[in-house]
Amino acid sequence: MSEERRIQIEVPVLARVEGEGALHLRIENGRIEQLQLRIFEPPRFFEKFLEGRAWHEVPDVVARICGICPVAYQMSAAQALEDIFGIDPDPWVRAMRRVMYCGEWIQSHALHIHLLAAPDFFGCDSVVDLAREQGEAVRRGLRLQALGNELIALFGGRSVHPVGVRVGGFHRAPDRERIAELLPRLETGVAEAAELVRWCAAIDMPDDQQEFVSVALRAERDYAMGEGRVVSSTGLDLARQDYDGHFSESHMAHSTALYSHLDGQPYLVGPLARLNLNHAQLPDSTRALLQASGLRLPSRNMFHSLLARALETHLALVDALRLLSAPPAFSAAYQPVKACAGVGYGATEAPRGLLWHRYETAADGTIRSARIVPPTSQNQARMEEDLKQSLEAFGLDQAEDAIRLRGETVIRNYDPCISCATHFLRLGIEREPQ
Amino acid sequence: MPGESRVQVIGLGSPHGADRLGWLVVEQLEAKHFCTTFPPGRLQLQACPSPAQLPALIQPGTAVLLIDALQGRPFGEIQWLSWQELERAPLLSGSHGLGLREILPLIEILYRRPEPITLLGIGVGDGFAEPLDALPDGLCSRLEQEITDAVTGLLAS
Repeated sequence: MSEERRIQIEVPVLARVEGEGALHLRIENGRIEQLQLRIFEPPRFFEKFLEGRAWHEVPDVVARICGICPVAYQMSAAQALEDIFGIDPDPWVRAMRRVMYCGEWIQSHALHIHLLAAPDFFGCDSVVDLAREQGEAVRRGLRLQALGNELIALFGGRSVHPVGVRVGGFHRAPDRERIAELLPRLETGVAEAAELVRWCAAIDMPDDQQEFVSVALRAERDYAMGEGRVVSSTGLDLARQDYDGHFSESHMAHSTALYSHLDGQPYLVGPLARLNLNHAQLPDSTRALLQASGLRLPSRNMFHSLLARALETHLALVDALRLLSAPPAFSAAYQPVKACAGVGYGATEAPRGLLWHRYETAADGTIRSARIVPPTSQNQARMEEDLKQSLEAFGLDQAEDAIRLRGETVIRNYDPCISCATHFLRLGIEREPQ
Repeated sequence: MPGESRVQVIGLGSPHGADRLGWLVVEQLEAKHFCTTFPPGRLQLQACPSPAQLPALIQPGTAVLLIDALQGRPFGEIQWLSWQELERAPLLSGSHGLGLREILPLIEILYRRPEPITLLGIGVGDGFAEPLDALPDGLCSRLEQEITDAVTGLLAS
């Protein structure tokens, strides 16, 4: 006869994630009765800080929201303000913004794959342990990360909180000499990213099939990054201006981050959602790697996110090399801005998923209101849903340490960007026979 | 070969509060054309935003002198930290839990460098959030002397 038991698992500090969060889990009689992903990072009030600021300050202010994906915030903000001021960036600006964005995808994905997520799949506590077993793979990952940072710095002056983006374009065009120096390294990077894809495809992942809705931008031609319509695996197809009519945010008492729902249901944004929806738009060489990997899309296994990140790293290097090798004709680094009153919307694909902005300006361009919906809050409801399904599939009769580790692995797999984090994890468990 | 030794002086930090200290030291050394104190090409000054980026920044065949803030130590206190002392040092933590304590062993495992990595810690008191716009003159002079001596020793080794 199986023993009935009540288990309460507290993970007060989530490890190897960006930010301060915790997991609360109560299991009774073999069922999960309560599961809460608690984000207790203090509210940061950036939307309020932006009120009363001049339009030209916005890209630099929003870059401070995240040290890992500042470019994403700058791109969504610039797009929204250009929407208000009637600016249509020229082909050179669009192409170079994509290159800069590629840099952010490369560095963020390389960081997550090697330093944060991969240790879980090799039974390692940290990247230090992983390096003992997989030294060349980690060295390769660090080289890719550095290359991504250099692409960001090429346009932004520096890779952390870059300052090169402005409404209308860039403050200045990058030096040709620096671009020429980067090209052969990008060629090497493409080859290394192909090795990365093969390495990730060979990792033995848990087979955890789940039903979920994928949401991402879709562009007319290229794999969406800096522009596109909002589409879903359920057939949704919206302009970014219509996002509000279908997506809603709500507050939960246990979290300082808002929860997003699509027509009342959790949904997924990020690399796997993008790959599920847009894999047909991958460059030929990346699509060949996808086919060779054996991954069948759309995937219902959230753990395929790691391979999706590797494929997107390859895509980003291929695109950066292509666009820097043969850029569109240059006429000016930016278009002049004539500020006006209005409401504008921005939607781009941050490394972790869709990042949506809305701004309202006064006649002189001063920000009257701002709203920012980051990918992690969009994934929060999906993460809780995934945790419940994954842990039940894993087996709630497993040892508590094993349940805790699987829970952490599931969360880390989303690469949640809460803010700055710790690696160390403390766990409190209560067992009470009924 | 001693005659060809090179040194990287890397200030660790971020734009935020007292964590900026490592960057500030490098900025002030650059402003004083510190590199010209040594033969051309032998010394490089760099700022690094995160320990996680150090493995990509550190060059093979080069001795490294890292400069970082020490939390909870009196402002301006200078401490040379050995590898062993690093474990107990009150360094400001890096993002994702990847601070120097994790990254330096990672570098050791990945690259097995024969060249030394030396750490200079500078106390910033308890207030991480206190803005730090400039180093006091006295501290700047002391740091310049300490770093000059250390670089001279590394170049001669």
